[in-house]
Amino acid sequence: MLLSIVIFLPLLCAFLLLILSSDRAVRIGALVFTIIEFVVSLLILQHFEGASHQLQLSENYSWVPSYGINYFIGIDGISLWLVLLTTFLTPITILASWKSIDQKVKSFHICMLILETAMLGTFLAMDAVLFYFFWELMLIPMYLLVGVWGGERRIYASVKFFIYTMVGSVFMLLAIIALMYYAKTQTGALTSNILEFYKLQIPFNPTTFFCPQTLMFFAFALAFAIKVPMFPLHTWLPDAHVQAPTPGSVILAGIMLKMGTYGFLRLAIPLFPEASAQYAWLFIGLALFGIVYGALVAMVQPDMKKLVAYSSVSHLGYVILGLFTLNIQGVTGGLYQMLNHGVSTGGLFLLVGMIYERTHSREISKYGGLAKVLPLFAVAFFLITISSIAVPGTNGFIGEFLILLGTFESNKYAAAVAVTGVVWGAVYMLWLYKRVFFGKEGELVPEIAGGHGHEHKHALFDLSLREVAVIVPLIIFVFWMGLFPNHFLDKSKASIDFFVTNHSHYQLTVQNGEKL
Amino acid sequence: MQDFTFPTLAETFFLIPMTILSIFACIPISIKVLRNNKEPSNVLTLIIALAGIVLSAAALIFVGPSLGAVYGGALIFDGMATYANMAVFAITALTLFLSESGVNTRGASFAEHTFLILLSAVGMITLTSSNDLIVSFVGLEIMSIALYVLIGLGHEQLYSKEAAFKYFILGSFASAIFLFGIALIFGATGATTISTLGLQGMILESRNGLLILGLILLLVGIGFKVSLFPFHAWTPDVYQGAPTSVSAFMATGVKVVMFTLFLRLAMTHLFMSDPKIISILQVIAVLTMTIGNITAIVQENMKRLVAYSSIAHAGYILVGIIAAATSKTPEAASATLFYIVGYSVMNIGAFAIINVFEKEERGNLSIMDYAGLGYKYPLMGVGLAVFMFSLAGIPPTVGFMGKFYIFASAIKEGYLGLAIIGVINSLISAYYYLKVLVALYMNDPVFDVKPMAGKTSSFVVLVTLILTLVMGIFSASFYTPALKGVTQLLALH
Repeated sequence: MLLSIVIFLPLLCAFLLLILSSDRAVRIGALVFTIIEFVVSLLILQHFEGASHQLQLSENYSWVPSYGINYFIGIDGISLWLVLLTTFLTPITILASWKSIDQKVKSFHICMLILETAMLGTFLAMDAVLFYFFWELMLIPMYLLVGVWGGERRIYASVKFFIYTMVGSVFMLLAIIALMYYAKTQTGALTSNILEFYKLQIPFNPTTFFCPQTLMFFAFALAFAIKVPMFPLHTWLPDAHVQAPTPGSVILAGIMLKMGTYGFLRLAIPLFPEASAQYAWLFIGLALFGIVYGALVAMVQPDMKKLVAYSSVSHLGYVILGLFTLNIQGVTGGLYQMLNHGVSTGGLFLLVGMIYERTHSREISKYGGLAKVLPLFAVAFFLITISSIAVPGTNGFIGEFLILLGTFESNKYAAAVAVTGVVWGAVYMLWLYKRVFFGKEGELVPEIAGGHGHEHKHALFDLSLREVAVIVPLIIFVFWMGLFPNHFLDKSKASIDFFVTNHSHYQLTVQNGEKL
Repeated sequence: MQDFTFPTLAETFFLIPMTILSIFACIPISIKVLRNNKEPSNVLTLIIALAGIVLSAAALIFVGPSLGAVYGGALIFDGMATYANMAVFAITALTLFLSESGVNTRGASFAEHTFLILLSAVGMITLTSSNDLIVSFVGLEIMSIALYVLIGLGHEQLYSKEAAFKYFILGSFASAIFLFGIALIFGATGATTISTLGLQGMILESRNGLLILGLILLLVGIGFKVSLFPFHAWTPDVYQGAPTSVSAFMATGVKVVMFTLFLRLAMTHLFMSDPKIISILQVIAVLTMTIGNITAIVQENMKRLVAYSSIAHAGYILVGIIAAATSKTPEAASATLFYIVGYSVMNIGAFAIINVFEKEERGNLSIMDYAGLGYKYPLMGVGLAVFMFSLAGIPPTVGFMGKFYIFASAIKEGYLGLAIIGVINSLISAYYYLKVLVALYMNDPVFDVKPMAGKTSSFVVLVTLILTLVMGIFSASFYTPALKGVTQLLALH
């Protein structure tokens, strides 16, 4: 029951929000509900056995019996932290939207809560059709978040986001259906149970692209690669991020991009082991290209938000690189980097959003010398920045280090290229920091010495208590995850070890004797 | 046709549903005649009509479903017919609600409207339950003649008259071609009974030109009524010109019954008598989907947009029928039935919203008229959004599950190409459905648009909205009856 409660509690709360009338009540209600949701999701942690690689807390009910589709959910070390990341980031984004979302407040929060349900459902679904169901459901609230509360070109960005994502997913649907019929011929029963899918032997022919396994692998990979997004399918991302409201960007970068990498880990790689091994070079190549390309493009962006958006392309390149090394260090690093990216890039989007609320500009060139005016903000930004560039002691370091270690083990040349990405990352982030916080006061920043600046300059206030509450939990996690990675990785270790050692004949089992 | 045998008393029971409906159809209009042309109030008419529908549905459940054909093999009240008939009853009831409050139908007499709609429904039930092509033709004509009048009922409106005339002329041709097809099939096989035609077709050597020609003519007739390419050109004009409630009735009711007939023919494996027929159907399916969707992109008028989208959906349904035509298992046929019903639900919903905002001078019909309405009228906004997502095939709506079943059966029967083209079409269609959503939620209001229709239309929106979601999330409860009905029918063949 626990996992179902976790999935559907936000949806239920969305209905409860309908009866609240004032905007303030809606905000408080949504915040309280999402915090309750986070607390409930912590119960998963309590009941989760880290030593087991099996699927835990599973629930299995018949849903569409004639097609063998079940409501089958469960959690293992791979999805555990992603679920917690989701429930952790959602209340933070609700709190961050307190001031910036001032129109259609109730609809906004309902969208956020439905989105949370859809995201949690995607991470927990162990039935392919159920997975697809939540995967597509996610599109609707996100589309509305970008399209309704977004910036000037929000309509273009939201439609582009929707169509792009749908392009990938419809082919995945066909592949899922094909897998169901493979299950029927091989096991005798039509089913969309992912654990049954793992057992299938899908015909593979290394000499041709047009064999069932390769085609289906690419059908899945297309869906996930668009979501990640991998170069060259990333073009929807900068548009969507720049146009999305801050909470939308945070959810998009923090959680939704992980759907793609999670999909590779959960479905594309273990379901099609031969094809994924044969075409790993393609994904490693694209990941490397993405790392360097994302970083270089980020460097020249005049817009802070766009810079952070392109940095995502680079960071997610690392994750893909780690996953396709298919060794323990690489996959562990990939998984860890997914969480890191959620914390650090989520944090960066929040901070960019805060400064945007004050000045209504994200032009880097209009800032400068901000550190003197907003010391607290400067400190927060700095701490998140070092996480993003993976300074030792922060979470980013652990993730990138493990990925590079894994890559080095499997391919030294790839590792050599990937290492340069670390440098590029430092370059664009530190340069951003320098231009915004140090140097001469920019046109939007009042001079402290001059006393009462010019008329067109906005009043700049340092972080409010609410904003501190938004950013401090993230900073805590930056260092917690950086200094004590085992607190997190211990729970996932068994699953990852099992995944890597068995990935060519991966068979997940359900843990028996569960009461919850 | 078989030798005439006098029906037994038990067999006549099967006619009770149609009889009830016919009698109730006449009550409101008789009251009008008896009271010196003074109409009974709309509420009374609606209650009488609904009572007729409920009683008729109850009678249908009471007498059926039966496995064998009755009336010398002319009629069959199996599970498949029951499934489609229940859909027809629901559609008819919802259409009456729409007519009652529709601006376009306000000028006309509601009693006459009810009479024609119920009579058309009688024709529809005859069609779904027919096991003989001649009876199908009779049902087709009862249904169509009532529709010709209904379309033209729009009060003093030019488009309405044009639409009625267009539909009448083209429809008559289609009926004639359909009848000619029956004649040729009879000439080739000596039978018009659907359930035995498949056997007859198989016995005949496969290159019997007469049979093939007859089948093709039959397909032309059906293709016209369900607006398959290249017989689709009338659809947008007629849907646009007809009173909105009638458009809804045509876009859903007519399609449900014509596709049921189509499915019945397909399930006899008659179309397999020549492989070319399946190939032709595949080409038609691809072109119908693609042309419907691509043309819909440029539409500015909501009614025309929904009309083109309904053409595209006919293409998806045809994919299911093609799968059913070659399948030996019931999944394809039941997927098709489920899709038709699901499609009807979301389409009536979309028409109901058009009906709510439409003005008498055919105003408030462009997409931009819907700008910003989502916030002003939350039920209408959420309703239209859900219908659009459902038509585009996004979960958790019935549109998604329907497409899932259809494409699953297409892949199962080896029509992977059709399935791929189908999903690509879903992508294309998402673009224009999103256009409506953009107007609804992301643009500021341009015009001061107010709901013109009364509460009954909003009620229809609410009902179809709930059904769209429930049939999407708990699709098994709606899919299983279709599966059962089809399985029984297949066991007979």
